[in-house]
Amino acid sequence: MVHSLLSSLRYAGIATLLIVVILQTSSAQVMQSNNYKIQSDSINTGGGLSSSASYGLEDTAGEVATGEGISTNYQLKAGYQQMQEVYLSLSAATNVLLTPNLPGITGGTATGSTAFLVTTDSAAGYRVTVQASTSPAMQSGVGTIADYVPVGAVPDFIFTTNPSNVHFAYSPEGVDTAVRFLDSGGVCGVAGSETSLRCWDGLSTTPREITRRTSGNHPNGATTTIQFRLGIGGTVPVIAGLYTATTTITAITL
Amino acid sequence: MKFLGVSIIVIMLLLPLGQAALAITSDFTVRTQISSDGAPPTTPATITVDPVAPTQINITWSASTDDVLVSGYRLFRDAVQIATTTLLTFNDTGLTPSTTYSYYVDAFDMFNNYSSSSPVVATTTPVLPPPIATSTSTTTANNTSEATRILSMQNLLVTPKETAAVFTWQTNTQTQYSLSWGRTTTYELGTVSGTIFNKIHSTSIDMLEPGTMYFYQLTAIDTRGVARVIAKSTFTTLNKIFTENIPNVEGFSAIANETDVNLIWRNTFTDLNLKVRIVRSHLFYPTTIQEGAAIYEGRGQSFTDKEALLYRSPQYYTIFVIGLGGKVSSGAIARVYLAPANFIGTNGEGEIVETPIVPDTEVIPPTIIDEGDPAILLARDITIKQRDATYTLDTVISLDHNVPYVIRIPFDAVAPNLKTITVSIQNPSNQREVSAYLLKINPAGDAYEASIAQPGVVGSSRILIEVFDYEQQTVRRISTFLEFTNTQPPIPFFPDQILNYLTMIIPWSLLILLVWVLLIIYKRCHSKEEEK
Repeated sequence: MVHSLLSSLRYAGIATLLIVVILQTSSAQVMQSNNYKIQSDSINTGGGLSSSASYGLEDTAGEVATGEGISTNYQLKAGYQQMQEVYLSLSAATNVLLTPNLPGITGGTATGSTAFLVTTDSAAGYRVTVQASTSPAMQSGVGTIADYVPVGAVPDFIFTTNPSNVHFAYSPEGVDTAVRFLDSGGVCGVAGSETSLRCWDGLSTTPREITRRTSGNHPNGATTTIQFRLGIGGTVPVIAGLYTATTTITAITL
Repeated sequence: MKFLGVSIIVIMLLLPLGQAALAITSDFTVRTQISSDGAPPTTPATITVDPVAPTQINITWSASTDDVLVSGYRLFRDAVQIATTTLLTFNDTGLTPSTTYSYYVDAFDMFNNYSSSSPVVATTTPVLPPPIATSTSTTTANNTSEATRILSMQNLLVTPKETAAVFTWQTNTQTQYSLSWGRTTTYELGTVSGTIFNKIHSTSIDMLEPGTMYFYQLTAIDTRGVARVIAKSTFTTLNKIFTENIPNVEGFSAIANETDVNLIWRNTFTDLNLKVRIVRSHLFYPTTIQEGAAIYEGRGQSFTDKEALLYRSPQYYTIFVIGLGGKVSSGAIARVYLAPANFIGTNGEGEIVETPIVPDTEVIPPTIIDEGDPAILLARDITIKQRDATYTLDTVISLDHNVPYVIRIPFDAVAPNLKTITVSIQNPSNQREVSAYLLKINPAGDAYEASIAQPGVVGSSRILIEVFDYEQQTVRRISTFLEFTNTQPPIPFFPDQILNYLTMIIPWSLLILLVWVLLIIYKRCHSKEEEK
């Protein structure tokens, strides 16, 4: 009896999945020809308030007063299918010049940061990855600076430069910072707080997620700041020159 | 049919997901400017000039210090550079009698940072004296001319080497010299002349046969042209000792502690048959284990040479690693000066006179430094060999940080009258530590070589080859960077990469759902088979 019930539940699960998939593929239909394209449509009629002694129902069979309204403070998309088109915006991150200029012999620490704003109405949210174009990221014509290597599998809570280190690190900050860069007050990679200038990692040519949000944030969006640090320990000479790391951030809807 | 159904479900799940994701990218750059060693050496505090002859002025100056290493000094006469040297003296010859000349000097480090220049000093050469009729040939001690009577010589020291001999002596007045040598008293093999007037003399003769007796005759000529033979004798060269590829010690340094010298080094060997020997000379870097005074022998890594600077400064040290069968390393070297009691660095307020030449902009040194007369040595002739790879010094060189390497200069690539070839290498993990080594003739006799132990750490080092030609008082300097790297590539962590890829195209939640569906279908199929 129990086995039969479990089997029924499993079939029910599969059936539910199929329905969901079919709905996903059949909704938000786009109709188009060589001359026109209809992103979505609706029949604007029917609906209203029904009631009896036992129940009350307000249903809608059509819609009226639909469309998009925009002011300086808000953006309204009214109607059944106004939100079918996912909106994603990524502001351009500005270039960074680390300061101060460091002497290749005595060393020191140079810092800099850039910020970007991601806005999306995707109900599932978004994620942002960062990656470098080269390995190591920071290079000049003849010299390279190693990417920061955390001690463990997660970023280092504190940016640490030993005397023999010459390395380049980054740390994202913001309300949507990925768990990898959150900390519990001393350890990174755990869901906790976002502490400024903590949790340092090295860039890689493999995309690394730095931001994740599981809901939309339109219209205000969310700003993420990436802090950068260059550490020269002072016992390893660095060839003089202008070093550049070309970096790419990618925002993706979920 | 079951598997077909599963496939359809999976495809239907994935299709809409792939269409839904939007992506936007933005590129930006992160830049930083790395400057060179920003600290130039301290300014040579004092400079003195001595017009020793109508055509010669001898210049001496005080030593500079640097946070890394003082590489040398530039000497200017009437604002024109006339010499680059690592020494603290220079004899300016070929001058015009009864003429005033001004001099100043500055110091530079490995990164070509130049100090401000020393105070300018001026002097006038003496008037040319009238010729003396009796000054042409005074070959015996019984000569009665006034010139020969006052000319005398002290402290003659002849130091034979395997294929050379070094002569040092002093005269009671400024003199030039002429040294002749041969297998017989006809001195048929050659003559070397010193055209510089000096009281302290040093010269050497090369291309000799090991283990052979030679005759020599030394003649002095004073400022009036009066010549006198001041020594006749013999010397015998040392028996040949081959330099094998035994790695030298690391980090050999000599630090003055008043008149004591503290010597420290790191042994790179574990073989119990190996030991080190330190040899000292106040004249030059000893190039064999028999030259100079042997002050230490053992397996330690430090030694204090008591009162070594009491009477002589500077002192030159060479430390050799000695193996079985007379095999020795090429030698690591260090030099130490007795710090002057009144030494004041550039931080001494108001003590240093600002002089005309002060660099007003930072000089970013080139990667490759090539200074001096190319006729002495070319950068492309210097090679570094590691395993089967050979690199030339006219470019930046990348080496494995865990493998020893050999620096090699073909014998024919250098001028025959040079005296010493040294190589200085920064420690990649502590660039303030610079180790210097001698390059010596290899067993085959076809190249100067030094075997250097692996640093064991990754990083950058500047390597500097210097050729000392004491006769011409010029230095050839060739330098580049060594990049010590770990040539073993990191092992990729495949599961992590696969997981990253999957999570890029499928959200975590749906990935788990997909696995759950496949699990249920599998169990369902399994239970059906059991029922059958």
